[in-house]
Amino acid sequence: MQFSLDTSLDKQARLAQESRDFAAAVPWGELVLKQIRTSQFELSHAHLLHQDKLYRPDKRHYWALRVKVPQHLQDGFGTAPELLVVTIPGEVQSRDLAAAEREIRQDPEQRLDPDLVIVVSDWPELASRLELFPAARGRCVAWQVERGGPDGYHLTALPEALGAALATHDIFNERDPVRGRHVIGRRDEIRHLTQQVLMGRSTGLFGLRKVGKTTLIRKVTDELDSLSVNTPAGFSAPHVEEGSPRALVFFADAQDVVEHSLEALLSLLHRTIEERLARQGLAPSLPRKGDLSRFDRLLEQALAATPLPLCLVIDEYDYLFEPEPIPGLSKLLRLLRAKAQATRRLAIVVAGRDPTLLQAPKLDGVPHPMLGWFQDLWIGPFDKGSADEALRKLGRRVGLEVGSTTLSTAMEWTLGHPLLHRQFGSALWRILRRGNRTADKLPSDPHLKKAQHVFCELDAVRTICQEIRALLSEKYPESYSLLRYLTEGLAGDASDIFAMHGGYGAGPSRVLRHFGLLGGTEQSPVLPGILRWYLKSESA
Amino acid sequence: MADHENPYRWNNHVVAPDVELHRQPRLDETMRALQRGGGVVLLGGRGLGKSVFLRQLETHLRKKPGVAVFTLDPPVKRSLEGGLAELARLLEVPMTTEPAPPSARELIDQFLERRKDVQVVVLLFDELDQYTIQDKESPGTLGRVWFDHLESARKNTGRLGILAAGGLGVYLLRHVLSSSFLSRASWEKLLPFSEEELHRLAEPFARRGQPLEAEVLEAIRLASGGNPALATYALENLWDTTERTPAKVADIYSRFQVTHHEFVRSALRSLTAEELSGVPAKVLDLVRQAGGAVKRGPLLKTVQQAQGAKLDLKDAFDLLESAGLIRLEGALTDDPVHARLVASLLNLTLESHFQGETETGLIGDLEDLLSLMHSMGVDLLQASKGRELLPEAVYSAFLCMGLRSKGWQAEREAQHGAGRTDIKARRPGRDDLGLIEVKIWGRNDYDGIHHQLCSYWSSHVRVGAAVMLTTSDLPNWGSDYKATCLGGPGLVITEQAVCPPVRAHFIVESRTPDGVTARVHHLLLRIPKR
Repeated sequence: MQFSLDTSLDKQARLAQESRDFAAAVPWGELVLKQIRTSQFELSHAHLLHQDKLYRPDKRHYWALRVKVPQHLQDGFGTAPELLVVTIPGEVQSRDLAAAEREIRQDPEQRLDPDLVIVVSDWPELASRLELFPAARGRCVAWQVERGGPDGYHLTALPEALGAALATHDIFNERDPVRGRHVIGRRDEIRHLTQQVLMGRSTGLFGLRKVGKTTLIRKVTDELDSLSVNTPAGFSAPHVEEGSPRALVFFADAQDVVEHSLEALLSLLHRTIEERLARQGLAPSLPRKGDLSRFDRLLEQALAATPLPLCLVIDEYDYLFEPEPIPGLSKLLRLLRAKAQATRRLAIVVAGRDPTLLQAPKLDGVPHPMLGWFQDLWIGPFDKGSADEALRKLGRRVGLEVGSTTLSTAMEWTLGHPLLHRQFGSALWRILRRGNRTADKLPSDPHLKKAQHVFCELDAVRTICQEIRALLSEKYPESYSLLRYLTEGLAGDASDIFAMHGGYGAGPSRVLRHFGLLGGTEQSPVLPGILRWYLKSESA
Repeated sequence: MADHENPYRWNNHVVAPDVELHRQPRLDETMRALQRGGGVVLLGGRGLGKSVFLRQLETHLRKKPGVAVFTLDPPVKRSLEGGLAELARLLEVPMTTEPAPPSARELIDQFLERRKDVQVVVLLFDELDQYTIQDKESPGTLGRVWFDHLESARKNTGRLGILAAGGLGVYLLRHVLSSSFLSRASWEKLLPFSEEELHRLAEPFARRGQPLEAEVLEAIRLASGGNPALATYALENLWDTTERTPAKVADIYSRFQVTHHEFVRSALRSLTAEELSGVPAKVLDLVRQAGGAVKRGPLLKTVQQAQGAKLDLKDAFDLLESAGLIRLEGALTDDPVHARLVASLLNLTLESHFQGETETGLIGDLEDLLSLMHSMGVDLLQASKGRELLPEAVYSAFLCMGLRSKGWQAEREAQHGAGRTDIKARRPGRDDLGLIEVKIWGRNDYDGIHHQLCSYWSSHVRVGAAVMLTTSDLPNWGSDYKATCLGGPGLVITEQAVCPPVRAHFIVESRTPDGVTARVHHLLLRIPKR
């Protein structure tokens, strides 16, 4: 069942009846209703969470409540007009959260907040329990029912529960790829990659580590094919809209290859394809041998079984080439290219640091099969709009009013590098929110100086700077030299420095620009403030 | 456990519950990161309690419904396949090898498929160094391959938490592309026990009605530097003895240096590791020389000169801090950087000045040790009582231990009494003796230090050393000292060139009551309160 618009029933009467049913069915139901009322929230609907006894034999104790959020909290936290409150006596299970997800997805008015769900339960250490579910992390707020009090139970006010969640969870400090609605910006890249896949064209996504390559690919592949990643009970792939696939996506990570051999790589790809086909109800019957001809036949069968375009993603492709290319890799790449060219329904997407490994003239002693095949898509930093959106949006979630001075300062320091930008938010959170359980909206601008200091000291920030330095100094020494000159302001003005390194359009400068480490113009180049600070601070 | 059974086991991770300290905030934070499917690096040197911490972590996580936790050992077969086989064995999932072994991700998926009650798998790895430093030809290879592979499973499932604990090994995992595991992991650093934690560790003595004297605990703190294993070693050895004095503590640790020198070597391994180009040792040297305020320029030059090390200044300081060797105060971006040595036997240098002559050898070594004491600064003072100096007995115990580490047979008198000096020192196989007396300026009978030393003189004594300590900044201390302590007839005083941080150095010759000429070096040291 889903929430429906009241048109004919007496709304008040219906709600009164739902409330009575809820209070009768849940031991601490009356207390929940009381706290909702006293916290100035307003109950608008209540019904059973599980419609099927299959999920919960005692389903009458599990409820979905829909509450209207007071205006000041909507403003403070940037929530939607209504929140979903699910009541779960005892242990929270993934099926309960999946049911909550369905409620939100099927909300006819789309007034429910998709990124904030209140889970109320008497399960001890509820917050800790919720952390175990990937889709609940940073999204579900624990509203803990305690034993005690005059009614036998105790429940804090709802704003307090919200405040406690804000004070303990650093929403900015996410270091892994994000999914679905949590992806910010990159609209052009998403559109472009989607087109490429649908047209059976191959694409290489390149950029620094943690710049958002996997996030971008997943955003596209989730939208094209919600079953592209095998996740239990639809719960590890949060916020992914289910629907008919527009392509079949096979997602492989080169770090999953267990031996540096063609057999092991083929085995991984075979398994990846086979599993996805099985989820589609297609079951090719080929023994999983690390054999090129069998892999060829598997691709043939997949192409024959569906009219949809196929997309093979190889994330972290650099690992196939390092320390040496996998012996025989050229044969596999040649096969993939031939298949893609012949059918125009097989798009290969690779993601890694840079395209040089695909541009070498030869591989295995023969002409490199990938030469000129991939369309390069460099994933650099956020543009100003997306960077601002990221800080504002996440800031609102934790009751921070991210001001315009903060936005421009953050951009100066990070030049829009997504993870660095989030870490700038994390610095703000640490100063203003950690341990602060109030639900007040807190302005960030007055705390900028301290935030910059905290930002520079964050481990994740330092790690990124260190990785950039190591990568450039080892792999791109000319670019590193250029970066050092620009950082130190050596050798006169910027044009002279570029000239010393072959000119603004030359390789060393281009690498920095591709990696998003150099912005501005030839006359007024801009570097991420944090990188400049790091290199200077490490300079004798 | 029976009331009087010794509850301490310094080298055994299975500690009696009543002496086990829980570093709760760090435990909570780490648990939370792991439950969320995060990667964590736990940085800690030898004896800093990594294994105990991991065991506590495992115990806590086991109690959580929905979490399955496993501790993995380095694979016998040092390869990715070996690691996978070990993982499969623990997860109790089949490990087929044809056409290729399953990936970690598949193993985790299979486990989760079978165990529907589990939401998150947590893998704990102790001794990360074992994954890296045994690969002689290419250090770090197994560790890199294994952890990068696991990282893929972690990143792509969101249901795998990984913690790897180590010291030096953490840095050997790095390569040009860094390590994908290290790249996204959060870092936790285990530091030595604080004074309050040491007191808690000693609580079993109080529970059986025999609390340790404050000066005994201070002596333990000064010798162990708060290293949990070292502190536990002293408590374990004090439990069954009635002699619980600073002198006994010095004896215990001197014995430790002999019988467990491998522990000390291993604790200091990261300092001189070839793979890190010896950068940590060089940084430590600068900290030692600077006595509390280290100029950033030389620090950065030292780090940069070691091109292949891929360490930055923060890494070097992290490594030294987590080895329990230095303490950083303030930020690394300050100039000078405020850092000092931790008072610990691990920081006692082993080289001796002795080259056949007792006087120059002993005085040279004492000057070294006083310089170290100056570098250790506030560690040598009472933390809880306004940064005052500790009882003399604690310092003489510390010097005694230092001399022993430099090859002297140093005896520390347990009880003060007539005819007893603080320390008697001699080189093995020689009769020549040196006498050392330690006093605190302005305290007790400090002004009689010279005559006291002379009164202990015997025919084998070749040299005496009077060490006077203060925390006060006394502008005319040298002349005040002469007037106060070196008065009286018949004293021939020669002022020596000062070797900083010693504030003044006098050689005083006088006749003993037996008519022998006594030659005593007077060394004045101010211990900074910072």
